[in-house]
Amino acid sequence: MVQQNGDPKTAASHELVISTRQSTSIIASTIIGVGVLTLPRVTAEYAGQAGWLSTILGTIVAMIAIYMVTRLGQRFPGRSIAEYGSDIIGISKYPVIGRILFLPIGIGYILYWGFSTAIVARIFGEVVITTVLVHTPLEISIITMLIIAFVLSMYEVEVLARVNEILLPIIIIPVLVIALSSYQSARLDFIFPLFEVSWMPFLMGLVITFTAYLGFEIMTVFLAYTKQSDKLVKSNLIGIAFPGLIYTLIVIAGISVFGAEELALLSWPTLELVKTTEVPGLVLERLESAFLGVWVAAVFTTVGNLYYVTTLMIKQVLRVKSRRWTSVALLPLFYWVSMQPQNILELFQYQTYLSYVGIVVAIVVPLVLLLVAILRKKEDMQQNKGGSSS
Amino acid sequence: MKMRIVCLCKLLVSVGLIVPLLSGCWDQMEIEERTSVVAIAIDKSEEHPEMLQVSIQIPIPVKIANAAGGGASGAGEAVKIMSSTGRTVVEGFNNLQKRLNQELFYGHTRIIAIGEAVAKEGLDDIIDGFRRAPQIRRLLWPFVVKGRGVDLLRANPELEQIPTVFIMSMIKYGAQVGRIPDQNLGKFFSDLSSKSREPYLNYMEVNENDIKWSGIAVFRGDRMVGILNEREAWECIRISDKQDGGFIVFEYEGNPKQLVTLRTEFIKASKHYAYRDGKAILRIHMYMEADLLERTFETDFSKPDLLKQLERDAETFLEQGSVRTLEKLQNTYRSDILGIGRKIKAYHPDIWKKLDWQRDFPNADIKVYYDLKIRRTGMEIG
Repeated sequence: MVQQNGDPKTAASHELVISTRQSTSIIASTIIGVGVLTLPRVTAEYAGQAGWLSTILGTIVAMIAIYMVTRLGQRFPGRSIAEYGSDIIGISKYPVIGRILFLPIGIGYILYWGFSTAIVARIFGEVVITTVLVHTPLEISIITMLIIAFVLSMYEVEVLARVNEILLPIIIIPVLVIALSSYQSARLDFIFPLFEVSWMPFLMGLVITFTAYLGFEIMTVFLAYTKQSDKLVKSNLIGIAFPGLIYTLIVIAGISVFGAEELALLSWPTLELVKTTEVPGLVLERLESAFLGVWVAAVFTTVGNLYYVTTLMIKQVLRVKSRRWTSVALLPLFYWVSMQPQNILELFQYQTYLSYVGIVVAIVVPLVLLLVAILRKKEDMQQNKGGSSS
Repeated sequence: MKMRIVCLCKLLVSVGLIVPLLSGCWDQMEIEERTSVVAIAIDKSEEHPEMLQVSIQIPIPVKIANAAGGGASGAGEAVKIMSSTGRTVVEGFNNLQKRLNQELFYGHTRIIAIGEAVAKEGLDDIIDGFRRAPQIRRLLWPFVVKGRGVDLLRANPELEQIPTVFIMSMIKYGAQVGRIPDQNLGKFFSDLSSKSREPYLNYMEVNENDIKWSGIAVFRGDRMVGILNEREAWECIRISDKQDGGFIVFEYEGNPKQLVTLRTEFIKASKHYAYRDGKAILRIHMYMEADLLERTFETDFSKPDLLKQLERDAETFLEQGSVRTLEKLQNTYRSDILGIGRKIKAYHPDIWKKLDWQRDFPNADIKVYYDLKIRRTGMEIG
């Protein structure tokens, strides 16, 4: 086994500030975002009544993916994908070659995360102006969201981790309560037969559902800041399990309250679900404003984390000196991109294209890198003292 | 000097950031700045049959406050009804808005009254606006009104200050005791888009200031094809919604002078599905319990035989009713509002695949059997 750090300067080791629990929260709160509102419709469109099944399978696929990402990160503790990626595919004598080879992949990541930030902010704006603030200009709601995300990106990684840790329960608990209480108006004959599946649309539905779990791939960067622990794999899997549980509950609720056929017609099915729900024993009847409040927090963690990871990636791939100035430069860029889709249908179209790129970025690239790393026996020594990489 | 400029710059930037916040919420609107609509009616315009007439009921806050303080009864009605025409529903509302000083707000709308003539021409082009509007709630109640929908808004039963509240509590209570189906907008939308079930709506009759629930309006697709009267409607909700239905009044031993009234209670239903010779076969066994409320003749029900006879008579009465209801639904209206198709699809997908329900529902062989037990006879024994 060979020590791969040909050039010690490129093997930047970051401060390990993220605890395993914070790692769980970063994953969960990045995933839970705008997708919560649209997922039931998207699954019903493709998989029909079996939408709940494709949601569960989607969770499992996402779990496999995060497992790969985590193993990859554990091979190179303290280094992010931008730093170890060039090592894996490059030649140790000439690190420049690896860096040049990795450059397109790195730029791919930057573009994907950058566009995601803008599109998520736009979807947020669209929901806000169609449902609650009808007279507020779209620009204002997008700018406010981007500015908060920008403010977050000015701080250290530790702050980001804490913000996620604090916001996660605030996001999860109300969403769970609403999902569960909407089961009052559920009708069983909508969800039966349970395994009525036609395979091609179902597999398509599975792919689409999986894209709702995108967001965990930011761990390819944040694992570099995470404290190494045996529990890391487990806690990252839990990070997927939280959104998995919420998504499954919401999809089942959507199908059994509206029926698959009606569900496919609703632009924001979860919001409609909230509107038809009266939480028993609570004085509150119209929960949608409260729900949207919670949802703003959920979107903020998504946009904030994506914004942050974009700046980190730019710094590491393009060797930019100041991450903060990058962040400042990105703000107008994100705003401009988010204003590009002409209408909501085009917006959803962009989102679909983006999620195909996301599949490559979140599954294919980590898988290939992991395989190559295993084949070429590339890993950092300090972690595996026993040399278990055979 | 340089320090000062930097200081000044910082100050300017912070002020610049704070000033936009001072304006407050962009969408702020005080509650007294909006006009809440509590009920909507949609009819065909009387002068221009191709146009729609939309009407709204608006509570007048001042009048309500006066009455609550024990004000004079001559203060006039607490609601205002306004009508306007348009080629589409939203255009109609827009024309109404032109005549109002404040913005119309539909968040409190609880009733949509649809005139029978409009319902018979199809609702697809009317409900689209309601589907898109974020203020419209899926828990509100749409009705088909005999004659014109606006009559339901104009009727003032006087028991409540706002007539809409009267209608709301009427439906709410009826649904609670199982007399009126709780068919809200959300369920109507779901049934409308579902391929395995046809939608229905409650059917209201208005006579001046008198409002009455009188059965359900049956739809086929988005078109109303006919009505079921109260008794037939109860038959439907017993079969499809597991509700109790209203009281039954029938002849004892077939004698028109011997009338018995029972209060029925739904216990359970078992349904058996089969498929033979291209037909769906369905046998429904309904188990009901009943309390004796009234009889108009002398007899001694403490004899077990006579009570048995009474139960048999009630069963025949209910079975006859279901035969008539099914006959109407299958042959006249050809519309499965009972949700039988949905049940087959859910629990017997193998049968469902062999059926084209729209075509096959009228041919389906459906029989309903009742098993009724009289449990109590009230404060009088026998």
